[in-house]
Amino acid sequence: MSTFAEHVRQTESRRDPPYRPAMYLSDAEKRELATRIGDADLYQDLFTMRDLVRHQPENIELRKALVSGIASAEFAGIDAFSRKVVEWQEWDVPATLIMAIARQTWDEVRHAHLAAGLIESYGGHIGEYPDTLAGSGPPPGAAQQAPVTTPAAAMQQGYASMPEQLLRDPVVSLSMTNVSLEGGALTLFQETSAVGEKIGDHLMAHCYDYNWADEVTHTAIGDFFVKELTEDKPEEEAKALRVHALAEAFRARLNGQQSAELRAFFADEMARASAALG
Amino acid sequence: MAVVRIDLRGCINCGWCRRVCPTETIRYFSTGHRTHIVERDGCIDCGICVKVCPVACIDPEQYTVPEDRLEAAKTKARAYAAEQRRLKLEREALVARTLAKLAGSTAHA
Repeated sequence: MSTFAEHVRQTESRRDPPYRPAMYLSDAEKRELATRIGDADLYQDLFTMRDLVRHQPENIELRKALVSGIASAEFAGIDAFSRKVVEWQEWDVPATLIMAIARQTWDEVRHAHLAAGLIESYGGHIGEYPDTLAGSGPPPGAAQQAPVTTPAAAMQQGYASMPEQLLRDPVVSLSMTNVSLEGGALTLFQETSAVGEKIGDHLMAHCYDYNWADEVTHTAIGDFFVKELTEDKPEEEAKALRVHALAEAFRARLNGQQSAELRAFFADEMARASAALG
Repeated sequence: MAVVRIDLRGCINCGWCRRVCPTETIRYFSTGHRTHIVERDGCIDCGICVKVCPVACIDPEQYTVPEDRLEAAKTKARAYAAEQRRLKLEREALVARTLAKLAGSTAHA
């Protein structure tokens, strides 16, 4: 008998307007995008897009592009977290975690509403710019994948390389998405809010300050429940740490010491894996 | 002199302090646990981590870093600052090139 969770798993991600992933744009679409933002390959790099807005505040297209890029992650968040609300009911997790993820889903809905409103205030609309995340995957006939230039896209490609069952694991998901990805996004939101303040776009400043506060909550939710789910379970804690390290490696915006620490961590992991395998 | 310590009861492991520490003295993965720890002999009390911590769980702690360790930490901080400046200039050059391309494509349109 098919469960509701199975039904949800088999249902692909959809949005109206449909997802249009930047990593699968055609050459013609890339050329069109380049006329708006200067270089289509930079579109997924939200930090560079933010810098472009700061340097040319009078260019409304750049603001639309930046907010559209961030909005894409909010839509992906709605999709991902709402699925977890259903799927995690099949796992041995506290009901309070399910409630927390339901709350988080609504937070992402509010963020998407804020982004849509902000884009409309610039005279644009959702779907005008491509998505920085792939949604349900490559569209039919997509030729090749562009190089990964954004932490979120890197995470998505990293996720794609991991076994599906592992990704459903709440400890893995909370550690990778809530703690690592959302913890990392704090910087982007705080800096985007500061750019809004600097260029006199108070709506942008206010929206991303609001989003930032929610991201802190999401990180705290993730950390709280990872602690709860791994308490007195050293193997589970090690797994949480391992996938956090993986997530940071995918994002790869690290300084020397952080890279060295990660390399040492993975070397140790490999040694333990070799020992375990005899 | 003061160094900083992280109150693990409040820490949410967002890692922001670790990413901005100019002496790279905040450890996470190498602790073997999900805990952010300040190696205090590498702390120069710059306070950057205190400013960015979203849950205000980093506090000063009275401790005198041995002179040779402090000097080594300051050297590391200077190198870190130089690297950050290089990256900033690189980013600004990329932005300038992109805006020039944009101006070019607008002129042709």
